[in-house]
Amino acid sequence: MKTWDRLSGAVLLLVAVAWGYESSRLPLGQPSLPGPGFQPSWAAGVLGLLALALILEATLRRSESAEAQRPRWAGEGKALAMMGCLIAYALALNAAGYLLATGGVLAAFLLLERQRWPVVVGVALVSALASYWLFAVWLQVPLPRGLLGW
Amino acid sequence: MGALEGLWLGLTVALSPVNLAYCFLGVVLGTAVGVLPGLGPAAAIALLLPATYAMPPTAAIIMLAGIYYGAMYGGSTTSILMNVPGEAASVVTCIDGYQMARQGRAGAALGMSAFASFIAGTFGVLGLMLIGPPLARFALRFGPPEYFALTVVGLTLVSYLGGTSMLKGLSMAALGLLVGSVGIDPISGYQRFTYGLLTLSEGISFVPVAMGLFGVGEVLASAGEPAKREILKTRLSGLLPTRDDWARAGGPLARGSLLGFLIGTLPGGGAIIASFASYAVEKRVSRHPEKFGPGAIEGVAGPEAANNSAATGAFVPLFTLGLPSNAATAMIFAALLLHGLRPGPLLFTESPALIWGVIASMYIGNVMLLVLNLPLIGLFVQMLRVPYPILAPLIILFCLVGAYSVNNSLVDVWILIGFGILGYFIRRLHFDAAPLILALILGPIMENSLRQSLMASRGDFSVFFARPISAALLVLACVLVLLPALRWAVALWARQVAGGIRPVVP
Repeated sequence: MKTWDRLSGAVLLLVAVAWGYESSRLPLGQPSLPGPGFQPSWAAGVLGLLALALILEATLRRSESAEAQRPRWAGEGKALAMMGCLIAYALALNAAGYLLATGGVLAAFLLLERQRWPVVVGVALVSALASYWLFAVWLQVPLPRGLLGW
Repeated sequence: MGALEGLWLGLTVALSPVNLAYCFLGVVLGTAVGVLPGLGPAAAIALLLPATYAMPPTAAIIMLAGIYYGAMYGGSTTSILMNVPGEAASVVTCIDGYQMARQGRAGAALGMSAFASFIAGTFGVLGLMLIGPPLARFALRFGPPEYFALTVVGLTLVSYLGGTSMLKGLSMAALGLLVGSVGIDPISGYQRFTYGLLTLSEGISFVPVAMGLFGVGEVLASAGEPAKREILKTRLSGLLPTRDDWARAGGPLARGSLLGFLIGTLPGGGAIIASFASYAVEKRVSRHPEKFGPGAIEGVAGPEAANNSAATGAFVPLFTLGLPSNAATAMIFAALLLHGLRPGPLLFTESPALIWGVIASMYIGNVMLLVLNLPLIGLFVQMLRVPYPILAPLIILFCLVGAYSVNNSLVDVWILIGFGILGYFIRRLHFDAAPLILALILGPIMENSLRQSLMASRGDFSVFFARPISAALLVLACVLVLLPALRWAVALWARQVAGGIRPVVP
């Protein structure tokens, strides 16, 4: 866990530096009239200090047992594939339309969960159609129609 | 308006057929969410937030509140029958509840858990009803310095009590403040971090962030867990506890109710800490602490009472100060905002029908839950047979369509996915999402009160220490931050001293 904590600290430090830099381009104002960059600047500063403290604390921490050094990674391949499916969904949503994209992402998730084909097709189809009816027809949410018009 | 007068008004609101129906729907959904492992009340409320747009505000809040306290009832069922907590506040119930079930006393454990939940839930509503109005009147005297100090203490307490590491909790809170600063600056009207995206002008929407962190993040993190879980095959008869059970559980129930309510009112306290604290107290005061573990009914009654009164206690800071104290009440805070209501002390005077309607609905909801949880327990157990591999894609579906429907915008879907991935890493690397979501809600309140205080005092920072309440709160926050740092430094120094002493070899 030490290595992962140091890595998390480093990522948070990067976020703090980037956000701090962006905040410094906003008007900071004066103490009597703080500007829009005031809060983000000090919040980024605090995050940076906390990230440094996290790295320092993990570095100085007494060496851990082999068990404690590992974060609870399990099924990371499946989780990464799921993330990929979600990103592909967002990329395809406007072009493919709600029904096709949603049916596709549901089918992909069910396949990743090792479900049988009839279950995959049945659950994906029924869920996509039912949610379309609920949101687009009943609640009148203008869901993306896609190039095919549905 | 006095408490009894308010309750009367509330009952006339809560007993209307529409509100009764939404209260019933809320507690049924809450029980279902509590029973199902992998879906907590915060995620469920986030999933349903978009669906409340079309509902009357009172009905929406009654339903969402019902989901929160209803989940506390349902969580124990899975703990007792499967040794898997249905939701986080029922972890402790696994210890003795599951052992009781293995000894053939599942019915007594489930029955006691339902009665303890009912008694403590009702006690919590009574506390909310009596403490809420005077606290709200007192809070009307608060100015920007007090609100700034309250938000600082709130975020510090959430980080201190919530996760395994305070550093990680505070980091998440700071990240939440940064995310909360996206959008038009409320004082100067300046665009911050929007990069030309119109959707971001009003800030990063709370709904996709919450759905991402608690819904998508949970599904991704559960990817590696076993899909099949064993349900203990046992008789569910004898749900009414015996006279001996009542005699043993009476004390834990009373202590759990009080302790839970007090912890629930603290920012970051919530039902999880309340149930752990109650278990620890009961084991300490018991004349037979060795019975805790192999199946003591006290170990079920105390924590189940505590988590229910804590869930109700969490509404005290939300309704009186406008400060959510945990992720689930943060969602209800967001729901109030969605319906154009400003959570805070003025709610009691500006929207008495809503506030008292919600409070009265909690009495009714608790009765509904007791009725639902005793005879229909078998029905809820059947829900556990829905395989998680089917449930997980459906959660994702609700998140995707829910996030899109907030602003009919693809940007919100990207925000959902981004925060879903962040939620996965938060779980895997032992961070805590609650400080982030609370900071996102409290960030704008904190920023406005900080800037207003400084403008009023012409840039004099001592304004925060010149007023007794804000000074006391800020000192408390400093102590909370410095304590772990001091403890860590002392431990490091002691280790170095110990390492420097070499044993004398003869």
